[in-house]
Amino acid sequence: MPDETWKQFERNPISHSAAHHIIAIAELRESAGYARVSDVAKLLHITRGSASLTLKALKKRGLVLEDENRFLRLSDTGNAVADAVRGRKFLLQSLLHDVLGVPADTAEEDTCKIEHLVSRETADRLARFLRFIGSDDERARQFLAAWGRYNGPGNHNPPGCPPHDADGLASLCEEHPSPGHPNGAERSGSRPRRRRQATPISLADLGVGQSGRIARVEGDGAIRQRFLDMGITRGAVVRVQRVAPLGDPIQIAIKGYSLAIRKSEAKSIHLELEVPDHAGR
Amino acid sequence: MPGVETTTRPARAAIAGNPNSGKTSLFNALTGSIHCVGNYPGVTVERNEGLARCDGRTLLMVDLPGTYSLTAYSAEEVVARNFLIEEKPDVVVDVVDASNLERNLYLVVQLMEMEVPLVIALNMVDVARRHGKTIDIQKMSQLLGVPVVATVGNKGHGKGALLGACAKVADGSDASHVQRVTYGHPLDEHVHALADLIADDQGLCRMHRPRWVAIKLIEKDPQVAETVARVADDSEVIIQAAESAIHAIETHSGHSVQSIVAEGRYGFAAGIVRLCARAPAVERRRVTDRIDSIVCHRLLGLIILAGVVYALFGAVFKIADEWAWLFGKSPSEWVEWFFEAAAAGIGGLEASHPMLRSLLADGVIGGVGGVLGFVPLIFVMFVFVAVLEDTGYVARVAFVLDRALRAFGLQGRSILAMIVSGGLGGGGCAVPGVMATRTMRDEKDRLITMMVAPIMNCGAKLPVYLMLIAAFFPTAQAKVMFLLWAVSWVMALIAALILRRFVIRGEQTPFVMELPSYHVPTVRGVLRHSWQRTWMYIRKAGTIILAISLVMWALMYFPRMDAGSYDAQVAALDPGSDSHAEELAAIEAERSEAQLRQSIAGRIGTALLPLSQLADFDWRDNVALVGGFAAKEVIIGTLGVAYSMGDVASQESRSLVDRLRADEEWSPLRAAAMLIFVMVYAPCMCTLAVIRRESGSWKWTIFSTAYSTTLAFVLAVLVYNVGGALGLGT
Repeated sequence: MPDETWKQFERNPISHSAAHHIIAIAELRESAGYARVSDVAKLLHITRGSASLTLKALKKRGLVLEDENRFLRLSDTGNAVADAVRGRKFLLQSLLHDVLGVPADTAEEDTCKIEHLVSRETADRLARFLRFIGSDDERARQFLAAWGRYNGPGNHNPPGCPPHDADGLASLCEEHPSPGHPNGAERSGSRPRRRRQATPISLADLGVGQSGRIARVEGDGAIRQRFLDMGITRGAVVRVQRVAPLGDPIQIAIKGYSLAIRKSEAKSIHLELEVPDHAGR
Repeated sequence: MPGVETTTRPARAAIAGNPNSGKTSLFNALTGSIHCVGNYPGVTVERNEGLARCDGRTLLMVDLPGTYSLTAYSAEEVVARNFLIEEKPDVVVDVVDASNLERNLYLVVQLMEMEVPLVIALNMVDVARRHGKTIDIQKMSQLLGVPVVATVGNKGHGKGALLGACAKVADGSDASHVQRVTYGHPLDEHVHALADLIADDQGLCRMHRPRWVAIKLIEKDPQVAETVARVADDSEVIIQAAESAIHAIETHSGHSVQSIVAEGRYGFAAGIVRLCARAPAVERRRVTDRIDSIVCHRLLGLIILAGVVYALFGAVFKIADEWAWLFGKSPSEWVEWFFEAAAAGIGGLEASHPMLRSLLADGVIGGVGGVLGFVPLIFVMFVFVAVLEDTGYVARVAFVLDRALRAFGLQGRSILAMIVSGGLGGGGCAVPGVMATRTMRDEKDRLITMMVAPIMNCGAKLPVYLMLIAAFFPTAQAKVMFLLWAVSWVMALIAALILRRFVIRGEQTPFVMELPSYHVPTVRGVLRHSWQRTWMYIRKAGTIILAISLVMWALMYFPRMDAGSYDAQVAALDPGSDSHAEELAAIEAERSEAQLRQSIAGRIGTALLPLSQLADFDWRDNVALVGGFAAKEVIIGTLGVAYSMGDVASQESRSLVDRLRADEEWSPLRAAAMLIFVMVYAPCMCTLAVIRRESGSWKWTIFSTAYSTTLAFVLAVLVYNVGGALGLGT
């Protein structure tokens, strides 16, 4: 089932990184009036070499043009791509953050992952949906209120209080929404370095017999590599089997075997959610 | 063409696998006998080779170190990986624990990435079956494109089929084709693109498979990146392309490339498991869990640990007592045996070549014979340690003790190093112990462990302990041995604490260790394991110890003094008197002692007397202890030489134990001081050589000698004087 999703992604002509480069060029031209390879690299926090490599591919595909002075600009297709991606980004962020109540930074992260992959049809439907939700229609208000109650205290938008950017939502029908952030591309480009706040629970917090799913593994190269090699990977389920006689280390079950690990190290393994017992095998 | 090759040299098979996958027992079952034990070039990871025969074909099996992965982060992994790259074995057997399939497949995936000619030995299928797991071997073989053979290593099942599969792969007659590993989007595309780029590079492709280089570059493997920079014609382009791929993957996923790659591999492994293996809804891996709940219990765990070690010593001495006919008198039996065998030769030498006779009787028999006399006991000790190791209890010891060790500035990996050095009560060796510190990433932790691991009671110290205990504490052998075990740990911990506080300061590093399922060890496996180690001990006695014994003998034999006055005394005796024999003996003893005293060794020993007197060591002890710098076994040998030389007049051959016991100058207290000194003082030369190599600095090598000898001396003086003041052992 995930295989099929991947295949779909493969058919999409624009890769994530390509989308970032295109948007960077568009924004640089809007703000500074010109864009060179080095400007793109600087904006995306990558080396000049790697920016150059990606841009070369984009040039080959006719999305990016370069004049004799080595200034970059987007072709018509490139501009269309940039607009589409930026538009979808805004749509997705609105859906995730304003309607569903996903925290802003998570919403931005996730948007970043999918913005370039959303088909035109989905984007159109999404725009229509958001327009409906943001409208004065009584059913939309009721829907939002019901959702707010259902979603509970985790929702950042109290029921009855429509998305804070109602005007933005109302203007969604336009094909060219205002860009989300003036330097949106830079922010998303530097995202891997800007880690999310620690999830509330780590492996060290679990009691004997409790289990959880690994969300993230911190630590420096060698240590993390060791964790990874031992099967402590994202999505794996761990269960605490017992604690050593002197209170530390702990014995955990992962991928069907047992591993001893100190609590201080277990702290760098963040868990996503708790799952019922007996799943740690 | 393959036919020609088989006649010229045997095909080579490398055996890879996770630790605890039953790799060693399978290797033993396949080869039957060790062909060659050595080290991998440049490093001191042990390398075992053996020959396996199958249908008239011979395969040279090379046992690679057990690893979970093939990164550049630990010595074992680098060794295994470099062997595969540089020596290009004709076939690689990956031993996979069928009861722990998913984790073991992680290494399989990495071997598939390297595109080596692979055969999978699906080991311990009996255990998996007991757990209620069924594995579709045919399907697995199909999906991986690798021949898969079910084996039970410790019983030798599946041996023939495995060798057959190996032979087929080695001569290229196997039809299966290793499948390409898929990691999923977007990693696959990046690996593919990068591999295409690398494939254009002639130099690089001669050494490595492009896809492997691509995945390793994306994984940020420092060693491969270095190779690319060195070898590739257009390394900058490749490195830049890799960087941009890394960037693209990290931006796309929001996670580090290392975790994406590891997840890709584990994803592949999980897919294979899902398609080929069926496990019961409720796991049956209960036995291990139940034993663990007792052995690692908060209270019971520590009590059981102490009990196990105490029982070990008790049993060893009990068995040794049963073997008194072999053990108690064994050094003398060796002497007798030797004299009987070479009676004619040596008997004739007595008069004509006194020096040669002394060389053979005192140097060879006194030195080596004394060491060999302990073989039975050492063997029994090795058997017990092998049982503890093979069952999986050693990992629990590390688990139980980690917290305590951490308080002293050590860590889990240090426990393994200490246990290898003899921390489970003897039978270890500090050389592999120091080498075991390689798995520790933090330099400071490593140094401290290296400095204190030699304090553990290694196999070479045991004979000294056993001899002194037999001579002076015959009624409480197991208790004293247990005490020595406890003291060695206390000393090592205190030394570690002091080092961590004052010499090597800093933070501590992580501890991640597999706790393998318990196994019932096989008699064959245990005996084989113990015999290998005992054989190494015997070999050492025949080589290094023999050489040093001869040197020590020469130091004690030369220069010869002018014996004229003693000859005159002998001549003056009345041969007819009743007391003639006694008087003759007295003169002879006096002469030998005078001779020894003025020999080179005697002078060294005497020169050290002002210091050593503080601990009641006489010049003979000094000589023996100086010899112990070379190897601890030498102590017993040298004492044997020293005392037998002082004893030449007495024709009855007495064991060193009896001699010391009869010596009025020896007391239990002096023995105790000696025991503690031998325990703590300078590591032997072999260990120092390894410390030098592992620490990369003469400073630490010299420091380890200086600090331990100083500490040992202070302790010995303390034991002797405080003990004396309390009126103990006089």
